[in-house]
Formats: sequence, structure tokens, C-alpha cells
Amino acid sequence: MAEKLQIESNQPSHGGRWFIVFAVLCALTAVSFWVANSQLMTENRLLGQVLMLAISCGKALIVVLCFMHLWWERAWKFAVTIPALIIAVILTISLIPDVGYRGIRYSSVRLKFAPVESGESDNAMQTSRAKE
Amino acid sequence: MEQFPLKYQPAVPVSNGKLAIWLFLSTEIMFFSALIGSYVVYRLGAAPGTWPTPATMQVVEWMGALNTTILLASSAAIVMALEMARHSKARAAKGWLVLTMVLGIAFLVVKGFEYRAKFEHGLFPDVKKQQIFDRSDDYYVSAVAAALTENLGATTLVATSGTESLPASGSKVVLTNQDDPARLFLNGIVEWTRLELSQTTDLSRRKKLLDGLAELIHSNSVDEETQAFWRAELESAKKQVTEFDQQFSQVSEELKGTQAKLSGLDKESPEHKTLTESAKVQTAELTQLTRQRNVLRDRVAAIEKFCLDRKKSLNEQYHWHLPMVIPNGNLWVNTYFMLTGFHALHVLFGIVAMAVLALLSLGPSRAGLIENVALYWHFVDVVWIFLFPLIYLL
Repeated sequence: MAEKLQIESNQPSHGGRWFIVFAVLCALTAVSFWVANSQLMTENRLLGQVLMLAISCGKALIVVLCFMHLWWERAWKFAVTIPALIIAVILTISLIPDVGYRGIRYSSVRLKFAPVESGESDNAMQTSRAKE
Repeated sequence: MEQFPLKYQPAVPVSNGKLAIWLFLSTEIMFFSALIGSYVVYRLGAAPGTWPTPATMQVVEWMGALNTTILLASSAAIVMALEMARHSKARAAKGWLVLTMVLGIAFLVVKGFEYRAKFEHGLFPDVKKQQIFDRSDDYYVSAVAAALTENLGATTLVATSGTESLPASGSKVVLTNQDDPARLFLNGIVEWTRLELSQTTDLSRRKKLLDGLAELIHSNSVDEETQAFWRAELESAKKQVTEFDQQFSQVSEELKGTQAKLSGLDKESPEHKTLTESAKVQTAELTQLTRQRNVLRDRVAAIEKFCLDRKKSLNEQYHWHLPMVIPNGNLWVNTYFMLTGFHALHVLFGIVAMAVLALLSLGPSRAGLIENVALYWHFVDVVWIFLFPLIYLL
């Protein structure tokens, strides 16, 4: 047990620091809330969206590194987190061909029931729709 | 061999429990990134401008911001609980842990209010009865008519007029729908739209009729173009009412003349027979005219009541829960409830875990246990950090 405590005691023990981290997180939340209601969202929507997601990534990183103590952990942290993150990204990318492009390349069924007709479909699909 | 005594050397310099919780969290990363990733890909793949806005879906920004702050505070509180336990301050540790639980419950309460607003507005996945339509078409109009007759007990003129017998000529309006708004709406707008759709092939007019109906039911904003459309509709309906009135008085005059001739004739004469026949035809014509005129009067009354100078959508004003047209709305509610529902479940499990933990004495020997629960709780917080901008702000 003494050994175990020794292993885990390589983390800082300053109560007050956690509140600074908490204050930073709240401030970042306020910034993204401000961005969402600022002129930026009407002028350059994409920039605003990217900014808000970047703030989220920053907040998540702060929580993981500080609150979850990952900053002070040994190299095993990479073995546990990085493969999971790679698979997470692959999972999302693998959705793009079928799901993400559904507004660009319609199947005849989708074309029929689409909320708003847009995008281009194959010539074959267009003729199949013309037959209907 | 004796020179090198065997000594236990852990492969990973952390306790088994902590390693287990991290492995669990790495599966959770994949689980939530599948959910969040499919939401993002669905959203990016939607036709431009068709993804529902937060305002349409009853999403309140400040509630999301409040919940974010609550979860961040709870994360800070559980870190303090761990800190206190490590420093042998068991009571203080318990205090911070209870605070974390209270904040977690507060999160769920706010979430509950948000869910209630969505359920009240019919914004939820519904398998049995479709509430959200991707576009306004004939199916949509039928669904609105069905909802009005089945849920609100409104009856159509067509249904009632079968048993209706018209009193003597020159009678007043027999059926009036104007006391019951649901009936007036059904006959003056919905059934009318259906009839028009079955008769017109003009695509732009079809679109205007369908979009006009959908906008009345769901949209709180009123644009100038549709107002002009409704004013034009009102004018044409009024014009038709006067035409029908003229026809009506003409036919009823004819009928009076026929009846006057009939009274002076012998019942056995052949002329009497033909006149009786024509009286019958004229009465039938009057019945038909009255019916059509009533429909038109309802039309005028309905447009005046529902379409002009309205402030709110009809669903909001009358609490009708009629089917709505929200492009990609079904996709939105499905992904929303999937994401926030699974997240809320995780919050709930976290609260249960903390409740169990709060029963124990939280000295330094329990620090490992507290840390494991804390790691899980922080992860739930991280998930919400991504959900907040994705659902509320973007």
C-alpha cells in the first residue's frame, strides 16, 4: 500500500489551483457563448463555428490534463487514449461516404423524399425518376 | 536464480482499478465519438440551410450555458473531494462529494425542463404518428386533417352534410363552424387546401398553398409574401361568396316561381309532374349552393381569424399539436435525444456511484476509489463540453 501511495503521490496538491482551472473553464464557456451571440456569426459563420469548436477542444484538454491528472501520468496514458482517439476519428470519417454525401449524390428514393431538392444525382437516377 | 529474487513489477505504474476505469473510458471515447460524429456528419451532409435552427427546436442557449457551468463546477468539486481525502480530511471530502452530487442532480433538473419544452411542442421521435414532416405535400395535408378530426374531434362539412336536410328555400346558413376554431380551421383552410390541390396543376400555386398551411401551423414569424398571398385568397373567397349569393337568390327566386305555379295547378295534370321534377332539381341545386357557400364563408372567416395579423403559430396559440413541417426535423430530434439521452444516463450513473461512495468513510485509503469515480465524472463533463456548442450554439 505504501508503494502504491508513493506511485500516485507524484501529483500536485494545491487546492486553490483547481479553482483557477475552474475559473478559466467558465471564462472559456463565456467566450464561446459570446461568440455565438456576436456579429461574427452573421458576418463569418464558419469562422465563428470553428472558433467555438476550438474553444471546446481547449476546454476538454484542460479538463483531461488537469482534472483527470493526465498531465502528471506516465507514458501509459498514450497507450490508453491515442488508439481510442484514432478509432474515434476513423469511425467518424467512415460515415462520410454514405451519410455525409447524401445531400450531394442522391439515390432515387432519397431524391423522392428529400426535404429540399438539391445536389446532383447520377444520370441513371434522373432517368429513373423521370420514368416515375 | 537465487541471486535474482523475483520481485513484482507492475506493467503499468497505476492501480488496477485506475487502469480499468481508463480502459473503460477509452471505450467510452469511441462510443460518444460515434454518436457525436454521426450527428456532425448528418448535419454537414444536410442540404444547405435545411438543418433546423435552435429556435425552431426549442433549444434555449442560456440553459445550455447554465448546464455547462453546473457540470464544470461539479468537476471542480469532485477534484476537491479527492484532494481532501488524500489529506485525511474525510468530512470535508464527503462535503465536496455531496456538493458534486447536488450539482449533478441540478444538471438533470435543467435537462428535464428542456425535455419538457420539447415534448410539449411535439418535438420528439414518434414511431406511431408522424409529427414532423420533411416537406409540405399532400401526405402532410392529410396528416393535418387526420389530426384535427381524430385528436380534436373536428368534423368536416362533407361528413356532416350527408345527413343534413335543407329546410325550405331561402333558409339561413345551416352549418356554422365559427364557434369551434378547430372545425373552422379544418373546413376553412385544411379541407380547402386539399380540394384546391386536387384541382390545380399549377406548381407554384400548389407550393404556396402547402407552404402557407405549414407556416400557419408551426412558424411564429410572419413574412410579407405569405401575408400578401392570404390577402389575395381572402379577396377571391369574398368575391366567390357574392357570386354564390347571387346564384342562390336567383335559384331560390326560380324555386318560388315554380312553387307558386304548382299551387295553382291540378295535381293530376302532366304539367304538375314536370314542375315537381324541376322543383326537386332546384332544391337540390340550392342544397349544393348552400353547401358551397358555407364552405366559402368558412374560408373567409378562417382566413380572417387565422392567417391575417397573427402573432403566434396555431400550434402555440391553440395547443393543437398538429403535424409540423421541419426539414430534417426528424433527424434532428433523433440525434438530439440519442446524444443528450445517453449523456444524461451517464450523469445518472455517476450520481448513483457517488451516492454509494458517500456511504463510506472517505479517508486516504479510499482516495483511489474516489479518483476512479472522479475520472468517470470528468469524462461525462468532457462529453458535455462538446455537446454544448454543437447543439446550442452552432
